[in-house]
Amino acid sequence: MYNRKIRGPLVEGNKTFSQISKEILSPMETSPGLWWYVAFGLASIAAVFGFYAIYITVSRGIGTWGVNNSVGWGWEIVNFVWWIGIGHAGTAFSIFLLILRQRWRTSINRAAEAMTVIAVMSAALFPALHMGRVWLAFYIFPYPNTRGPLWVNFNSPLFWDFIAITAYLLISFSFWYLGMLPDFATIRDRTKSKIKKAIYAFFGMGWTGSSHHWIRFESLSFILGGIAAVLVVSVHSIVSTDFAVGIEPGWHTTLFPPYFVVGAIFSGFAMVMTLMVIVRKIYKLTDYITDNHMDAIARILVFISLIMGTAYTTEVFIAWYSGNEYEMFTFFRNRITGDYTFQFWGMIICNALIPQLFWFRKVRRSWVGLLAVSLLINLGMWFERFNIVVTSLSKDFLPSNWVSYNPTYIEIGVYLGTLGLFTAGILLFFRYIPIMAISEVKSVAHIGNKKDD
Amino acid sequence: MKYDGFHWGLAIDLNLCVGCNSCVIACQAENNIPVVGKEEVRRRRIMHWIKIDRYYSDTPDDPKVYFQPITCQHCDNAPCENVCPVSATNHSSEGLNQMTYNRCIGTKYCINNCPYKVRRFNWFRYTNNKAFDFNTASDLGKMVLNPDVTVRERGVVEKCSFCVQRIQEKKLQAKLENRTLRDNEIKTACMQACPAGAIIFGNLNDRNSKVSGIFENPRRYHLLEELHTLPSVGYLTKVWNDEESKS
Amino acid sequence: MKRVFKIGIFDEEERFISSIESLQKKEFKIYDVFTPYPVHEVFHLLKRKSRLPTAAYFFGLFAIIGVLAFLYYTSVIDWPIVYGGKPFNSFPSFIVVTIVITIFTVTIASLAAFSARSKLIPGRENTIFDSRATDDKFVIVVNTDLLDNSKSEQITTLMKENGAVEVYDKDFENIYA
Repeated sequence: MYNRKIRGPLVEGNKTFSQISKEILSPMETSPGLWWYVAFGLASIAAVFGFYAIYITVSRGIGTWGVNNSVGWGWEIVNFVWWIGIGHAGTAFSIFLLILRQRWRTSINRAAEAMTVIAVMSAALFPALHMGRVWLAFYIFPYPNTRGPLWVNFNSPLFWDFIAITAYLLISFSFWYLGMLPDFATIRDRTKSKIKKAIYAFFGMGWTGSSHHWIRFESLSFILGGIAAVLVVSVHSIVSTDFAVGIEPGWHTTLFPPYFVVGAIFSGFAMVMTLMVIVRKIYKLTDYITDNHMDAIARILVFISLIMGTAYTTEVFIAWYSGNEYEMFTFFRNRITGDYTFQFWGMIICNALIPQLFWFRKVRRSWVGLLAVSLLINLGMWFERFNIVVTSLSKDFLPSNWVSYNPTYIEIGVYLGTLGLFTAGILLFFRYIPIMAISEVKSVAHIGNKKDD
Repeated sequence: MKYDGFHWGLAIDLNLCVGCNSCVIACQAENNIPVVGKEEVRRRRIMHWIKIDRYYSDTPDDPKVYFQPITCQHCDNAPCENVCPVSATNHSSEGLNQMTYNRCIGTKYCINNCPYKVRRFNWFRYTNNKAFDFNTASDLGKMVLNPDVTVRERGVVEKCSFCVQRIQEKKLQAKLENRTLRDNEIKTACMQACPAGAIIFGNLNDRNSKVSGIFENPRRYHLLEELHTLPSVGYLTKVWNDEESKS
Repeated sequence: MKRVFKIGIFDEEERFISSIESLQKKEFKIYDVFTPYPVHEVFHLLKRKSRLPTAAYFFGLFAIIGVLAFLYYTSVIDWPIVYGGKPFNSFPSFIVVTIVITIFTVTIASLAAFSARSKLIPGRENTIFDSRATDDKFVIVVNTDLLDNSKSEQITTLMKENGAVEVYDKDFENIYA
């Protein structure tokens, strides 16, 4: 079943179980280095700036942003889609690989899921802020009210979006938390500090590791995994309907749902890679996150990059083949040439061309190469969303509505703020939650390590 | 969708339009549209519910100029209505694309999805705001406001309503007098102000109304008809009699 | 009531499994076992089954019917509104909402069922027989209340024979599990 010769052991160095507990918990049990405080401080500064930008937006109005009568959505929706895309890593990793029974996921899925939860929370900030009257955001809940009752518009992609993201946040959080129960129990039973014991006992919910617990735990994991697999596909499909249901040239395409889902997994995996390269370097967990793990992610990325390249080509081809003059204008005069060439070619180069470097084993095995390419992919995915949201709106049907769009520092501030919140969240995760699923790593610890495999 | 009673429509004859902008100002006065000032206009945040587009043809030395007043087209298949999550914009039984300010949470999705881009957003609080000291920041200035029309709050979308307050007023009057509405009894502000009589408002369900007559004119077309939004606003295309002007 | 348990600690999965097998062969009833990760042989040997998938299926079924009925009620019966010329019962756009809310409901209901059945509630303290089970030890627990001393000794021998690193008796006042 598992071919050791080809893929190497899942966990290197023939470890005992208690060694695994100890090593994975060491970032939590030892005091973090100076780098942690510096990084946390920088992230907090960015977050504070973000809060200032949010305060200005809410107190003065959306007018403080660069959006206008034609480009009603600017950076905020670009960033929203970007964060949601990154938020696909956790579910894609944990759930697809869980269902496919790819056991190498065990040492990465916890961090990927943590990233998902934090990224989706960052993403959810934007749709709230882009509302003109955020204090009335509760209107979007379909609850019996005294206004008729007036229900919401179930045809609106924004409503779909709202429920999809709420469901996604809840499910990815539950899945993440469920996986942490046994680990919290491990911490509870190992720690000598009374406070820590009380806290982790509370959140561990009385987990004992009995056979009753484990069987229900496994079947619930599969139930959540199964339905969340649908969500991985549906959430970004629904986000894409925000555009695909629209009438604007460059938006109104049936290609969008699959294209968005693949793009989301692309950016998610790239972010996982960025994070894992850093974690390996800092916490010296190379025995758990082996070179083979990084190699596997790099291979997936190069494959997805080919799909992305195909999608970009298809879009342009269909714009020409349809003979629709608005589509042709958007693609040939407003993206490939025109005001937004930088973003368009940035997207092509970062997403379709640079990841091809992963065909070379040398790049896949060097941490500088992995880090650089994964960061460029995320930049490229940002450009892609900018292309979709802004270029279509800036020059659409009637020439009298053509405008250009430039963000103000308030919009940029909100984005920096979410970057800060995300980084701070990840740093707190490193500090207070086991960064790998200890029980799952134990269950695969001997795979590929024994002679007879 | 069938409209049993009224189906309001607007016809604009581009042959008659001289591009004088009276309709723009009349609309602004009637509907309490805030004056936003030079800086906001520069940032493309003009609030006018009706605007006049210009197109040019022929050589730059001797151009032909075309004016086209554009307002909300009150599409029967309105792209904006589908996408509002809170149903703040929807279709009335009389074919109006209505906007409920109280319900609007300002997602701006309708603005993006309008192919004509005729929807306007209240980017700031324009009333009682010293930063926009044009007409509604002082007690005296506020006297220009029309009491029949709501003043919009910051963060809501607004657009042409076909002067729904005038429609309702005349309907009520006819009801009190126990008669049917006469054609041309309801005049929108733009129609009333147009010196050339280029804008005609009326009931499209009434075969004998003036607007129905204009809609049967072979010159009639709809803006971006190919998108199948089914607008209730019809245009009569501009015709140049080049032969006569040459001789 | 005071209850007495015999607790066997094992280092390795294989020895732990063979110990369960030999205890069962002698027809000793195993109270429960505790492992640091799920061991599938244990589920077969102790005949542990979970009905959560069946429950989840019915949660989903009820959710689908409920959501579709709700959408039909709100958009056709309660307050029909025309959006962009669409029919009141615009079924294709209801599908998206139905899928997502069904997923949402199944998740919440399954979590609640899991929490209730497994007695895993924030702040709850279930009885921990041996705290090393969450780290690196495999633990077999046998209730010896109704067994006489010789039987009890026999269990200890069996476990030791199969490679238990430690076997001891422990009393518990109340059991929470």
